[in-house]
Amino acid sequence: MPLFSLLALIVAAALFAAFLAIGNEYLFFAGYVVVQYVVIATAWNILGGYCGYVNFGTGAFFAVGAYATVALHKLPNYSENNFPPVVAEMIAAIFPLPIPILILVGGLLSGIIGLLMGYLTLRLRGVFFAIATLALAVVLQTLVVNWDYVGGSRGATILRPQTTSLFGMDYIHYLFGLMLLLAAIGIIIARGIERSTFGYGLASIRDDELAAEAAGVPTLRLKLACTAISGALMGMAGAPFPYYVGYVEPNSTFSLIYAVNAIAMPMVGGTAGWLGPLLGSLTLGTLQQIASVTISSEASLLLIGVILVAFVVLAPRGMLGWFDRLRPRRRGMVAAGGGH
Amino acid sequence: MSVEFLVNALAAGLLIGCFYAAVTIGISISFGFLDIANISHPAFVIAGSYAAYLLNQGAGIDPLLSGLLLTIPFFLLGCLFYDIYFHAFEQHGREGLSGLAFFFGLMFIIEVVLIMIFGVDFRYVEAGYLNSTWRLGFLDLPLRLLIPSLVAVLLFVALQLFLSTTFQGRAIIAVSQDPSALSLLSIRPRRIKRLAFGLSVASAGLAGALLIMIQPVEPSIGREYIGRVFAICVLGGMGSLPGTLIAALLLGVIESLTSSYYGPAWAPAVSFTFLLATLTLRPRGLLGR
Amino acid sequence: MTAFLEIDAITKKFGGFTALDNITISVGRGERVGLIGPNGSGKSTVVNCLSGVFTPELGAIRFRDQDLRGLRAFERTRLGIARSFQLPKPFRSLTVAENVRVPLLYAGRGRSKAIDERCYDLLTRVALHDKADWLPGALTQVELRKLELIRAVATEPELLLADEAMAGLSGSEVAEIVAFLRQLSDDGVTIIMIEHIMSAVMSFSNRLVVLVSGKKVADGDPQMVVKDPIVESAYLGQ
Repeated sequence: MPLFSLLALIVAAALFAAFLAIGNEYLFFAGYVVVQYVVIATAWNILGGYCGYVNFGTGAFFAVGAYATVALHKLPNYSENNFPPVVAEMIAAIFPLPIPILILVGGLLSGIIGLLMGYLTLRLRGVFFAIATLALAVVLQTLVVNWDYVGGSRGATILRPQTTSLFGMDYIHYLFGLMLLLAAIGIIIARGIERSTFGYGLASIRDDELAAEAAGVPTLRLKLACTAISGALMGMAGAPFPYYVGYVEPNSTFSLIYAVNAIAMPMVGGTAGWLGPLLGSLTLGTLQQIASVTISSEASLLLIGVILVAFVVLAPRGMLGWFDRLRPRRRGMVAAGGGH
Repeated sequence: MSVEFLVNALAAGLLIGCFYAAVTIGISISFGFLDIANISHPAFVIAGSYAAYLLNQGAGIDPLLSGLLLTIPFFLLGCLFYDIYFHAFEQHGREGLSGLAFFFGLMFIIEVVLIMIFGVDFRYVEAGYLNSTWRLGFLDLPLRLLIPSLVAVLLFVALQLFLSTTFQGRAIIAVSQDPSALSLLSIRPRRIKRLAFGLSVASAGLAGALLIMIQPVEPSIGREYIGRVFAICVLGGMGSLPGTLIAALLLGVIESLTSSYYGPAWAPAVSFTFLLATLTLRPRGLLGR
Repeated sequence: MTAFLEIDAITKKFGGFTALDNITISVGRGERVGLIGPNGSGKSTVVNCLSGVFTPELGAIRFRDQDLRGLRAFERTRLGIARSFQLPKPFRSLTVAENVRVPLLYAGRGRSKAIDERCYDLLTRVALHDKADWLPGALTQVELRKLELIRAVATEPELLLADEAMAGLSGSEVAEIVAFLRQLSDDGVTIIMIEHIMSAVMSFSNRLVVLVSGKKVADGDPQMVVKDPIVESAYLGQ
């Protein structure tokens, strides 16, 4: 496990260096989106693939991270006009918060939302949980649309600095590097869960919740932890988004495209382990970038939908399933397989 | 505000509630009886709306007539999708994750295709009678709302009668309770389920035509309805059609009152909050089925 | 001093249907109880109430003087009450060995040896050790039953509820399972066997409880109970 973590970080660093060496600005922009999806897909799979609970509300968790950043970004300005001078001064001193802190805040908030949502809905059958996640996403979106402080439906503009204090690096490069790091961390977490007691517990819940309880697995507790971790990672992916995109408004931030990709990428790549979401997000993410540039953005959306349905019907084990043919029996790994 | 305002809001709520019931009845059949979580049902409704729009704009066909005509191709579509669903999932016992992903993907595809063909502008139908309003004292009943609602109730009653009186209808109810018993009577459960699912999607087509009579549509409206239909289904008790009607009326009224007194921006949240509340507080019959 | 397991006047209803009507059973430590009755008489409901899947409307269940009300299923497992399911419910995507690992990880108490070793030991007891890497889908019926039972045993129970563990098995397979249960009993586990196969019940139990339509109609020495005319007409006559 320590070896794997080290390798993951080295690969992330190597990729970063490679991108810097190539120097194509567009690659950084496109790469950011793809790597963002690596995080999101990996996060989704922790709850969906490992535990068997489908989350349709990915957009909401992503948006919580993004809007947390927006809210904090606007705080200095707001506090100047509305808070007592002492407080405003303190805030002006610590703000603007560096992105890594924002990521942690976004992750924390999303994790808490995940926990709350889980507490409300995890006692229910899987189907109702899925629908409830959709419901939650709509409720959160409506709340944000009506919250003028973060811009409501008009949106909010976030200006990003041109360079960072870190080696005077271009801000987009910095964001890309952070996202790579986050992806590496997400994958390390996912793999860590797979092989742990926690992972076995999740697998047993996925396969047969009643039998899992009978075997002594505290199902609710594990499911809650799972929702919290999954939600937190999604929130962390969303936190830097305002700085990347510059202008944040509810429709695109809560967009269903996140939900669809979050499901499509793991299911196409394979839900059995950490490698599946990675494969799926790299392929589908890149495909989308290409399609939206060469054809249209709607075409790229359609493509994802069609690929999702095709894989679900024809290749339920995803790309990992193709490799599985080479190994008839599974050893050691906590695998989801084509069972659901 | 005034009593007049309140009564009108209530009336509008009841009427739209009737319509909600018509949209939900398809889910009651597919989810309540067949245990198929077809979240793409509202997307089919919107597709029906656009089909009615095309027939109206292209051939000047009255939307009500379109709705009735559309039930046939939509029925066939439903049968087709059930067959795909059966072969891909039900046969292998893999309805959980994969089934949900399938319908989610389908919903998304329908929405994107509609956007690609029609764009995101609102579309509406034209028919002479839709512009009038029936006045009963201070009660304003716009025909564009009244007529679809009445048709919705008729649809509801018709399906209810079908299920309780005809042979196929009762077979559908039976298959939800005990598929193996059905096969003993040499009725193939799969055929009955296909029929039921076909009916479910057919009702979506008709509901779509009614929807575009009530209000202009654009592709993403379907998503609002996901929360509504499942909230109604759950609250009304799955598979209980009278319960569905009552729940639908209730939701319609609450939404109408919220919209009238607090503004329409909060409307989508109402049904979804309703759903969350129902799932959390009254999940009877949902646990461990 | 109360009994090891006290089922005290429990009543369980589902809507208008009364599945269990004022059932009282006292089980002593080490007993081998056979629970029989026609289909629908409430046997599985008793198991579900004991294991925490259902909560009875009336009455109480006490295990080693502790009231179980409010305790969730996994908590009861950790207390020492294990159950097997009527229709085997293996974890289909996990190997046979991993299936046994889960209860070892989550409910194994007083661990003295490493998990892997104990896993292997348990699998050997039911002759599944050479199929440790297999997926449950490839196992035979009797092997699935054995996996089901050994998974329950992995939780180191003091009370085992074996719910129709032998349904559909051949004569020799039934004997295999009975022998296994007898060995468990000799090791000190109290066992309640829910079963239809009378030969198994009679050869295993030292006490027989009969349920009919949710009511207890007989409770005592197996030889006496089977001769009871009420039991004969209600159940054995069928």
